[in-house]
Amino acid sequence: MKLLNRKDIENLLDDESENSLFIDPLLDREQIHNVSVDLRLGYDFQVAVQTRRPSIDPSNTSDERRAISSYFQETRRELGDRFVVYPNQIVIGTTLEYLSLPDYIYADVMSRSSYSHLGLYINTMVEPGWRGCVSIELCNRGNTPVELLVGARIVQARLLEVDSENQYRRRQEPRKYHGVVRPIVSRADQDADLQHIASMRERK
Amino acid sequence: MFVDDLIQVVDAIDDDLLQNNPDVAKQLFDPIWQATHYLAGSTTNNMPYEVVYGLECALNDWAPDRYVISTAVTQDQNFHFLGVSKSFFTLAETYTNVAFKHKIVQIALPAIYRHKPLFALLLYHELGHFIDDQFGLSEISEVQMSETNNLLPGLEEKPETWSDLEYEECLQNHSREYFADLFASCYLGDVMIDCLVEVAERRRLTFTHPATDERIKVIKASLENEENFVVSMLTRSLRTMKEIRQNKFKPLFQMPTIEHRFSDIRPCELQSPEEVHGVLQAGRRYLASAAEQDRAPWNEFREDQVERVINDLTEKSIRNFMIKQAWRS
Repeated sequence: MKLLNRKDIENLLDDESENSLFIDPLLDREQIHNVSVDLRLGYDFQVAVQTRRPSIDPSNTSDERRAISSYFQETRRELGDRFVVYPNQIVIGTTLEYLSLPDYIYADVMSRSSYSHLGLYINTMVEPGWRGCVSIELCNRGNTPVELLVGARIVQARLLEVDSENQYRRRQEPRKYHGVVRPIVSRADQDADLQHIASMRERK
Repeated sequence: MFVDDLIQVVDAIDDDLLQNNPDVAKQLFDPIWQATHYLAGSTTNNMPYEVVYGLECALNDWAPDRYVISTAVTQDQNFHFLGVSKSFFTLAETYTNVAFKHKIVQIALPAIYRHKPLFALLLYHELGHFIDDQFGLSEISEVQMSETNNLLPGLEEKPETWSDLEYEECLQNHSREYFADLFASCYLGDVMIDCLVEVAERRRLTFTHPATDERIKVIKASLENEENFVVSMLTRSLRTMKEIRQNKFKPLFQMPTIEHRFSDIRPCELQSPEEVHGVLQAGRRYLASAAEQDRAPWNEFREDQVERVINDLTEKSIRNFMIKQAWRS
């Protein structure tokens, strides 16, 4: 795998073909660094909330389970608004930018060190060929609330060229997060093999 | 700004009016209560900024810098547009000395359409009702009808069982609907006809609405620049109003090219507010064709995903335009 440098990234961005790199809006070319691109905090959030249920059941194998979305509350902000992440709170946000990766480019998205130093650790991978606003799981590991500015450069993407081309959406299993523009709560309960795994126990 | 003025009125009611002029206080209460409800909807942070942006651009074409839009996301299935009555502002100024700098437009948007801009296009029609109401255009049209003796389709003669008052009210109701249709078609083009067919196909004339077929004829005549009594009558009404004399029923949108971007599951780049209206039209047409799922990439998605992704691409296209505008300003 080859790590893309500034020139590679700029060439891919300037390429007009369908299998090019697309980042929109790229508000400032200065977001492109030697081996990474800074991405900004988007305006939509899903915030984890306390409910009467003692736990989230992502297995989709019980009649009594509640939808995962019921453990989250959706909220929106405008660019320039503030958003507070409290200690140990889980918040799902997205990048402001819509990304479209070529079939041969993989991306690691992680918090910029300036934000890691505040206790915010973010680490997401994006498969080749994927399109959408990248989901970022914000979790404040520190003991002080952190106030984030919507639109701030919070994460950086490292782009890596992989050997083979991948058709992201052309798979048997439907892609759950393709083309999303807002944070989506976990769709772990849609994994196709959950029912099969649960029935293994029953068959014993 | 609107909220600051509203708080001043509430303070004045608390400090003085409740004790000294309870009748006026009561008349001010209801609009304040309603405005608060809508403002709460705007600040609970689930507002569909993208659709509202399109409406703000349209509102600005007709009444620049006069109104602030606030939105309540409701569990209802209908769209509503409400202005605060003129008497509220007069009373507020007379009794509390608060002269509002902006007036408020209140939109109720069904929660199910929050992330589906392509299904919320009838809000343009509702905005047309608001404009009509603010300028009193339908009342002027009614006067014109009585002067010209030329009446609205299906209402050429008064039904025997109706009183004169009922007949006049019906004429005015129909004028309102025609105006709102023509207003919306300035921004949505013939997609407005699709929206109409979707909610009122084959609906006959009623007391409140003209027959859908007649409404479609009027919209088509306006879009194709053909002679039509209703279009001419409402155009004359526009000319009688000083503030909107320059406005015409004409396309106020531009169509962006979305095909190559949406087919690659990427939002498109919009260049102007006119293209914001245009992308809603183009997105609607694109969705209708993609829903057939007879071509890539849409035959690789589940049916419900096609609708979700195309609505999202439309929303993101508008939002990116808004972000870039704000960044440059």
